[in-house]
Amino acid sequence: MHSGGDVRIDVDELVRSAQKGDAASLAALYQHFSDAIYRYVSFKTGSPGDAEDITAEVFVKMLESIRSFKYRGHPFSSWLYRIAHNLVVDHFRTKSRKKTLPIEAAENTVGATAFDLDEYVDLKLTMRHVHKAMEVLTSLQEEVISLRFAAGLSLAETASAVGKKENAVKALQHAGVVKMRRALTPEANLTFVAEQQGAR
Amino acid sequence: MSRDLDNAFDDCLDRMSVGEDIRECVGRYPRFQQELLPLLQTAMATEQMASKATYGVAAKARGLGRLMDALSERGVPQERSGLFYFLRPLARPVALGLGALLLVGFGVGGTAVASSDSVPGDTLYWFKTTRESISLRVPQPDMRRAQTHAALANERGREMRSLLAKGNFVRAERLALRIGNHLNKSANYSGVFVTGNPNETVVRPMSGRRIPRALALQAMLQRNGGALHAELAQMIDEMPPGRQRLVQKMMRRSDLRYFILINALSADRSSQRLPFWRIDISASASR
Repeated sequence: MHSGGDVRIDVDELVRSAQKGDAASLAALYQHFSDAIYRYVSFKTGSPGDAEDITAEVFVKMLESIRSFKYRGHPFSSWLYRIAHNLVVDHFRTKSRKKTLPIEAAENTVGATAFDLDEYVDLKLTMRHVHKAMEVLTSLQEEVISLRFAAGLSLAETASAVGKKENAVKALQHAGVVKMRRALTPEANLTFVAEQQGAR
Repeated sequence: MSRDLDNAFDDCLDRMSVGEDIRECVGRYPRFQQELLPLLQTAMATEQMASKATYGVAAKARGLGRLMDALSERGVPQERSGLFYFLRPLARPVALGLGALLLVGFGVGGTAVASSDSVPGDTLYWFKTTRESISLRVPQPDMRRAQTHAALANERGREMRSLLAKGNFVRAERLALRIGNHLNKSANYSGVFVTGNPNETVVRPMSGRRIPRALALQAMLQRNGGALHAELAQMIDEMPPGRQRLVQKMMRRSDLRYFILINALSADRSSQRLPFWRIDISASASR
């Protein structure tokens, strides 16, 4: 798992302790997974504010149902991402989907990422193009792309999270990126930057 | 799309995630070079864009606070029996140590320092109270736990004074209740009974081993209670008449709670025969 701090952590041990109600273990699980969960949710929603709320809710839901988690060949991370996925789906059910951000929002939103407005606006434009490109994907392709590239899950973890075999996930991520590539317009910095990097 | 291309694409993604250059990876699959390069560029750029979304320190602290709040409101999950039960004696100290280490690590960047002076209503207050909660869960002797609660009562007193200075009387009044809660817990862990009527206080002999700690706790309470009383008294003098009565009530309430516990810890019970609400902390200490 790519998330977490510098300390090597035995997630299985923490989960077992957390299931017994240990506050420190719950806090440690939060610390370990929260960054990656946030990136995943932020990637899917395109809204930092909503991503913060949903990320916090993921761990409250984790607390509510952690007793029911059992190791059946699936890592804990996959179970957690299913919770995150369901909350994102709920989020889009109650709000209209915001695949693109109005450019005016860049001036008013306090971003946690960019440190100057130009970079922030540039990032938002790129995100808007990426989200638009992802509209052509199937829900499964979008989920695989989000888990692999935003959350940083391994192939095995992603396969477990979406309930598919690894070969199927490989095909999904390949097909998804092919579609995104075709859908991305030349205006997206994403394409320009990538081509510059490839040309080096 | 062939499975070979799927595998090549996935293999390159894994290699690039550990730092291999894109061209070096594509070079491993010359048959798919034309297809692979643009796809890997798109994947890499998407990942880089997604990685720029950073969970801010304040938001992260709020999220942790929500989790801990939910834990305290809804109670702890039922203990699992059976297969993992034998791990319980080991799991708790290991996990607590890890949790404490992680929270220390979480404090890197000034979060711990920034939150230490926070008061109810501040963004990082949740971080501070979470650290306090976890410190109370670390296995420790009862008397040390009693001292911890006494220290937390003192911290609540400091927060109360800070809120009063800012004119936030509602939150300050709530803190006065929390001071009482901490002092009650301190009493429980000290093994003393405290009541509103000193005549009802049960006189129980304390074991010899606990007496030095009990006396140290008593001294700490006298110091903290006296300081709180003195500072509140000064604040009352500087307040408009409308607010004085409210703050006087807070002061009397905290005086009473401190006095009862100090008295309960005292080996000398003679002061209990006097009406305690007429005795201030400094007078009782001198007897």
